[in-house]
Amino acid sequence: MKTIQSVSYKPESINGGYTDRILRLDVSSYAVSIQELPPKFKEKYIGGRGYALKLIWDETTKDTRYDSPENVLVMAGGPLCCEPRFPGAGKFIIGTISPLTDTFIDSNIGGHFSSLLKLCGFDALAISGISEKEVVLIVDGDKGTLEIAEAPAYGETVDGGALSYGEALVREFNGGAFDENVALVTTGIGALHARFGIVNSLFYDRRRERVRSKQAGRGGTGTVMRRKGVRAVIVRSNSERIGANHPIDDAGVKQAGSSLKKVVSQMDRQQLRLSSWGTTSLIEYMDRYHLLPVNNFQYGCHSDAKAIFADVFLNRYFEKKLPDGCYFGCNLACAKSGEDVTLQHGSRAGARVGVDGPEYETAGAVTCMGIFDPQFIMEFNWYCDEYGLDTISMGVSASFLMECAQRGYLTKEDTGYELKWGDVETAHRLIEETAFGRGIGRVCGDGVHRAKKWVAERHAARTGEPIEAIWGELEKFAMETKGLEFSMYLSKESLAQQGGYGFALKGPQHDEAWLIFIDQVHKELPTFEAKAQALKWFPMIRTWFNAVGLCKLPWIDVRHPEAAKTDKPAQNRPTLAYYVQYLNATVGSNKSLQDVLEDSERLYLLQKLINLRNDKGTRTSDRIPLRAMGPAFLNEYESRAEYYSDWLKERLNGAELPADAKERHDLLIKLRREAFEKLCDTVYKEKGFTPDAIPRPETIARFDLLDEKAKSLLSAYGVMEK
Amino acid sequence: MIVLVQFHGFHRMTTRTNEIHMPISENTRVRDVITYVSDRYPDLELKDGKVFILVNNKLTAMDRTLSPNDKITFLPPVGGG
Repeated sequence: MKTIQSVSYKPESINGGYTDRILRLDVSSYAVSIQELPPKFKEKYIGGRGYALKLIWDETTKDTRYDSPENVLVMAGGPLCCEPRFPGAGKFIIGTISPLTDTFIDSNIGGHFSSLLKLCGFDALAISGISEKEVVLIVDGDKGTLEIAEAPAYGETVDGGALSYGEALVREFNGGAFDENVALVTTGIGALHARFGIVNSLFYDRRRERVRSKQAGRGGTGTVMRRKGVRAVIVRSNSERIGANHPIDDAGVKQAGSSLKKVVSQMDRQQLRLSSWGTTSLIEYMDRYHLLPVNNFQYGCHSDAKAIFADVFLNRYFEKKLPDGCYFGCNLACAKSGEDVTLQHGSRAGARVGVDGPEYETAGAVTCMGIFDPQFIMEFNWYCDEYGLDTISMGVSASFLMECAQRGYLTKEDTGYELKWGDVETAHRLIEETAFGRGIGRVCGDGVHRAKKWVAERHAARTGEPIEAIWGELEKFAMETKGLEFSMYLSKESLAQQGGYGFALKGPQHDEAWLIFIDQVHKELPTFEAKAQALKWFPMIRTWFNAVGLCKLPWIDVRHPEAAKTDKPAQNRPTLAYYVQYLNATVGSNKSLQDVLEDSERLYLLQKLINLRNDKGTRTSDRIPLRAMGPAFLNEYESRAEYYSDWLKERLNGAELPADAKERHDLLIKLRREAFEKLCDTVYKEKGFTPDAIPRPETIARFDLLDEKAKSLLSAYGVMEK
Repeated sequence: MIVLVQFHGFHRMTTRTNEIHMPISENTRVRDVITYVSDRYPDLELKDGKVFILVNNKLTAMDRTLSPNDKITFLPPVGGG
């Protein structure tokens, strides 16, 4: 590799989970610097997403777009990543201004990258500027060097693939060999052409003898990385990982990790069996309860769904003899992989590849297109990883265009070929076109929010219909809020989950709240107040994981046996106690769970301020499409007519239902819209916001966030005097 | 009189069936279903609150009396992906 810049440095030691150093890289000037953080910084911003939020708040403006030079791309783990004695310690986030939402996004991602970055002496990496040529950053903690090099070329096919390129790069960097102490992040060709380009986190799995990958899927972080001209970041450190955080109380770390591992070991096999099936175990349950997205979320189940239940993947694809997982020491180990899968379609047909997945969401993105073929799910997973596309946004954007074709808003003349539900060839072609920016793939790659506009204009030009009327219809089924595509759970029958998606600061990704089962199935949230309390509590704890560098699955998908004895079993507090113990033992604090929630609330409010600044923070931005709150069209209503009639009867207290199905549908939609608005009122009050979703000054002040920028912002929104 | 006991996920894989019919009397309660299924499929761990029991898609108390053609399902805690 041709070096552009190389700097020697001495890796800072880790103390209590932190190095207090951020590696800063300006790729406009190739300036490399190390930012030393004051001690108070970590107390206020924790790490991970907190660090990313603070950098974006300080260093960008309301006019900053994803491709502005001042946009910062932050990769950060947190104080609790790296430690193999605690399950799920291989997580980090990538935070930046999103190409889809034009506001802050943080996408969480597994693997070894952040742990090795920390061993190299850095709590975070922050990249600003735009490079004229594609570059690779190399952080070598063993040699004590920080190097920027011209991104090498290995040939068109390899260069186009995030996985292929990453493998070739590691071989060149590491003398032809792979190594567990080297990790990297890369992007693929899709990040050049689509707004939902991903970052791949690559690491070497010595048992499988290949490079495996995890993804920062949501929000286009890979598109930002590629737009900055950063092709890859390599990190290397041979330092020991056990105890590397230099916890203040090592025995406490060991005990917390041991306790959680025991619960995982005992309970997972009685519950979801994620360690056997990965998150594909969710497919059957989502189908059973009408939550599996089919045909752009029109339906929630399908008679063909059994073709893709978890046992199919277990029997046909997953390698049963080799352990899984995305980081050392996690005994949930739910990151499943299939080895030697022969691709049957696409540009690499005939190749035998390792497929890292699928996760439930990838399977749901495929059923969203009406496809129930496990082989296609594996191939869709691989191609999206290789091309560097978010499987969720790819599936939902494709589904939107398919439904536009179904309903006559798009013709074959517009798309170049017929977009059909359930058609593997159509889907493969659309993936290729999206990755390479060709044909209708250019529209698909812009995401649903922007595709809506394109479709409306085409249809208006063709038919002469008023564009406002067309727009009104498209909005009913364009499954996006704030510019981000919905993740793969039907929220139609769960008001709490409608809020979970609508209020999510980054857009409708379920990492803030997944309340469907406790609301829709367990009926634990019968009142608006109960839903509002859940919609405050769960986002606070769920997003905390993104600040500390941990995976939340051992908490949310493995229920502690003592949880049933608590007043709110879904909160799984006995397990959360282990996390609080791990935190306190690592950093030397004495926090309670309530303290942890308040630390997270500070970050939540900081993100809220960024959203407000970027015009994504008011009630209007929290609105969800009609399909997310009920059956948007009559065909959806009629598919569950009896269920919806019972729903109406329950709410009309014995009053007679309209005889006509369309009138019943209209009535149901009216009630659903009213319920969502009432939920907004209740939730905003619970969170200390105005009815327009603006945080009150006292709410911001309570968390020491009321700086001059915040005051100016709240004043502009009329909630604070100048 | 019978009720339908439905299996999903690894329960389905363990029992190798989607559904069984369980005979009931006028006094059969939900807890009797646990005993009946556990006796036939000892590898299923259904006791001590390990799973949620739903009757006709609604969570129910263990001492509820069953009606003919009720559908019973067992649901592990699901927290989402």
